[in-house]
Amino acid sequence: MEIGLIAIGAGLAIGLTAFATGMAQARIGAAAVGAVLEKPESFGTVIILLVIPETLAIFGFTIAILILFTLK
Amino acid sequence: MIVKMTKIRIMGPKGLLPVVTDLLHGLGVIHVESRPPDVHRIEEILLRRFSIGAPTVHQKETLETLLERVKKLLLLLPAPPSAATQAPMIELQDRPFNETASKIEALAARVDQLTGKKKVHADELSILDRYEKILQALSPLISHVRESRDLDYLGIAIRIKERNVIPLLEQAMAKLTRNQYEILYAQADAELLAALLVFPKGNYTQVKSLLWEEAIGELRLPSSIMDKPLGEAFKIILHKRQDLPRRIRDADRELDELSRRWYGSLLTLRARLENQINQILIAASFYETKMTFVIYGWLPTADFETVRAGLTDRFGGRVVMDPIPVEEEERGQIPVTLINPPFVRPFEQFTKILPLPRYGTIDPTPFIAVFFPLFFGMIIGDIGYGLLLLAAAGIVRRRFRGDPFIRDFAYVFTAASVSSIVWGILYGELFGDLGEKLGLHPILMNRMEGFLQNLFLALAIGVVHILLGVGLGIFTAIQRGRRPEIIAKLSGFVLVVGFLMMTAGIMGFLPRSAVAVGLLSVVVSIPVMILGGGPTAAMEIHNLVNILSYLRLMGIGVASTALAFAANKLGGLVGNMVLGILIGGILHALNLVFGIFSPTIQSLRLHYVEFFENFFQGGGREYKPFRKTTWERSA
Repeated sequence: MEIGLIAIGAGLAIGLTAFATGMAQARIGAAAVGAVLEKPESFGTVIILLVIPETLAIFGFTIAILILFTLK
Repeated sequence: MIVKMTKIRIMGPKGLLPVVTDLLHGLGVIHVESRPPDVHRIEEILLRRFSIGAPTVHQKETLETLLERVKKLLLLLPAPPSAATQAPMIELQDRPFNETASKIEALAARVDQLTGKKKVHADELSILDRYEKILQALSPLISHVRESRDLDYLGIAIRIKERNVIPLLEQAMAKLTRNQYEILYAQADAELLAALLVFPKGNYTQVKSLLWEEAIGELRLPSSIMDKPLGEAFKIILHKRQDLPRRIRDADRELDELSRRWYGSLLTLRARLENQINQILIAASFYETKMTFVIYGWLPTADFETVRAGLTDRFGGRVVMDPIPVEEEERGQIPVTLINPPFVRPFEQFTKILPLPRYGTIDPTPFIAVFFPLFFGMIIGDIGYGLLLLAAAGIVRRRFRGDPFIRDFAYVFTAASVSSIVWGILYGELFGDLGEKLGLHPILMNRMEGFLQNLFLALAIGVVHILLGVGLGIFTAIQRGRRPEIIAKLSGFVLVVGFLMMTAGIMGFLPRSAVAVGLLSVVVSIPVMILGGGPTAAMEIHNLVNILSYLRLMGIGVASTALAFAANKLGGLVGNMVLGILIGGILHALNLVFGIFSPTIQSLRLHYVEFFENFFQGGGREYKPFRKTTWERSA
């Protein structure tokens, strides 16, 4: 039972953060395509903006690993 | 690094300006400044903007007209296969302008004529192609119809699925012509039915209206044969169908011949015309007094003496070039160009994705050259993937030797793949756990088991990278002499170090006394940062979060390893060796494709967001020297 809860916790940690990252990237991505079409030189800045939300998923992944390895 | 620039002023008698301009154009190192701030103070007294003069403007317009003709010709003529490498022909060199212009006019007229003809033929052919099936179906029907002065024909096309229109059409035709009509049908293909309507000449207009009302597609013939009787028109069409491709081939052959003869010369001429026009245009950025010309500009300090010696040799002191002090307000406008050792230069492509660094700040390229391959290798960390990438990069480098952009990226990925191989040896990975089965053992850690070890390694690399960034930020701030920035960066540095000491002390990696020292550093650095550096300096605290961002080195890496392990596992589960290798191979290939894209983006992001934030100042003005274009550059 406890192992199951730990696994659900780890899954929620990565799942929810990945979902949030996806939501954020979808909006940024749509705007970014428009920006690059109008101003191709903004590509570098746009890439940075696009990958910023990924930190959320990375944090989620780390928390998931910490849950799995420290709560055993 | 950013090339050191010197601001210069060149002065000489006005009569020498064309020769001086040509010399500077040939030297190709001066970035001409059109509005230096020091001019404004003296221009009302002495200097005024150089006036080009009506004859020169007229000359420029003539050159531009010819240039447009040449550009158009280069677009219309097919490029010969060897155009990129062949030496340009010199047929037009050293000829008087009028002779060149008239030759170009004659050539343009012939090329226009040929391309015009080709277009007409191609258009006609495409119409005929469209109706080919219908024509083929209708042509045998024509032979059944006797040519008559009293009869007229109309060809129509009906879709098979709309064939229910036929009884209605027959009914309407019977009513319209009082049963004096005939419709001959032939199936053109599975979807199309061709039909020939034969009816009295007097009913022509009414039949056409009927077809329009019933929305039945009438066969429209090309305008050249519209007035011919249908039977004759069909014969002409069939003949043209065979004849037009030959005519197009003839036009192509002549265009190819003209291209072989003229293309190289046109490329050379285009470069020369562009150079002549640029020499006229650049004069608009010069200044003049009653007797002299004055040119302001920038050039790399290393070239200063060479250019000055060149001017002295040529004009013997009548034209002088002096360095002049840089005004405070134009410090941000000093042109920027980068110079790096050959093994670092390809990484400039990553620096150039962002706006250029400002003059007087740090060029991040050498740091990217060290850390990009390191991060990339750490994420992929597989000998097999590294070797495949190395081979691919080698092939691309060889294949695209002439393209500097692709060649640079191939070099970057060569370095990244070598790093992947090294990390693969440290992790003991060859196509996932295949290496382990072949007797390969991890030297540093097994990524699928040592998660926490991997996590600390990623954080440690993050600490080094961030502290290096903050260190560079302190250096830049000292160079610029900005005290609040220095205080903010220094206290930011102390904050990160203090926080790390505190954490390491709590976790038992350092003695307990480190906790107290670390805590004190954190407590002191934050108020110093905000009081000394201003409210925006609080952003330095963000570096603590930024260090955590380096966990992606572990996260993405583990995901890549897990995929490689899954590929081997699934391949092994199939039971059939060939199928197993195929499935495993496809999954590994997929992983490798992700393995190129994702580590590149993630490594770049760690540079652009976490690392650059501490010291990089973009918005540099690109160094654009006034230099002659060559036919290759122009092409």
